[in-house]
Amino acid sequence: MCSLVRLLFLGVLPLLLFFNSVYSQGTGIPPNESRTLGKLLPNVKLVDSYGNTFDIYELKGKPIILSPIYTHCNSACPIITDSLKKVIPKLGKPGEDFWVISFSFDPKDRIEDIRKFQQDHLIDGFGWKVVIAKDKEDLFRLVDAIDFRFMTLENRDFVHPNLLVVISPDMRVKRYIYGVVFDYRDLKRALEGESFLEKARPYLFFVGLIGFASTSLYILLKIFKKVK
Amino acid sequence: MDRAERGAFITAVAFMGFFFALIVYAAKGLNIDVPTCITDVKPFTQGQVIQHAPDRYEIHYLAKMWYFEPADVELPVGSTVDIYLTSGDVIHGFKIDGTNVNLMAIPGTVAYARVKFDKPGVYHIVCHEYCGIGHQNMATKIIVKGGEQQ
Ligand SMILES: [Cu+2]
Repeated sequence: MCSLVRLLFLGVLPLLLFFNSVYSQGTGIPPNESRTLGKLLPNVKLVDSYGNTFDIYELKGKPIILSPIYTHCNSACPIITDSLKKVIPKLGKPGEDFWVISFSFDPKDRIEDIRKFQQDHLIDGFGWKVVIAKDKEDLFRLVDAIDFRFMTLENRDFVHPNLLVVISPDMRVKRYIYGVVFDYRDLKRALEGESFLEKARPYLFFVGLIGFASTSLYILLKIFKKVK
Repeated sequence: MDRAERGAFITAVAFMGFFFALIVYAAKGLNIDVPTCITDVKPFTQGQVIQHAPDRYEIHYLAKMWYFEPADVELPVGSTVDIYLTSGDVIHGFKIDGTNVNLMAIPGTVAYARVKFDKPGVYHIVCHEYCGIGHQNMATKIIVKGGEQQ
């Protein structure tokens, strides 16, 4: 009985958690986080729904909640935006404590489209901006920086992963939050200072490597001793 | 333990370590992309080339007995291409010669890989999964044209 419980905890539970975390990423091609986390964003030019062009680095100093969407979406993106609208008042005031950017990745979206999206969703457009990239080059630089990939369907629809990206005040990719509805605690944790694991991330690989090398060496020596 | 035995053992472990290091290098140093299979999307029924930007493309390849749709595609050098692949009938293969794109076209799913064409030339695409009597003729190509020579 005891061994069965242990098997459940040591074997099945981590496996379930693993599958759960894999599946919660939803549709489309998930980003390769190991390639983007901790990397500096490029200083791309964006245009907001009032037609103002600005560099994303002008927002430096406050964290950014970046929400990739497209305006003609009638499945996930409105749900993402509505969920953000419920969650954000619990976190603070956009524009003062942090920025929120709903970023349209549809290469065909124009200012009219994002203005309509902003008005339909009752977004203020200042602290929480609805933006498109200034040109195609800026669009794909930003999309690549967060490794966001989409597949074009008919009628201006896309298959894309559902996620938020939290950008740190110094413009680095900090964390991905997956899903269409969000828990404010997840976002709060992502906006706050770096956790120990995040700081240690660049070294984790080497720690693992050293651990792997030393355990295999240890096992080898043990075998040699036994066989003698 | 015998000396020769011990030697063989150490050589085997050293090789293992060497190949492990190569895998790590491939994943970290060369930024290898793993092909993805999208299973929760209704596959497209038409092949097409979609251009998003001067150097950004999406190609939706539909594999059928015994051809690929779209047929020959022309791209400028330096293009980054998202390749989506599905099948209209049976399982087909999809290999772009000279790149590391190597996919399977499975009915009901969409396979995905990203490739950047840095060198001009003709990239042949073959079906490398036996799919019937016309399998050996199932091929197409991507022609990558150099910017300067044109
Ligand atoms: Cu075939």
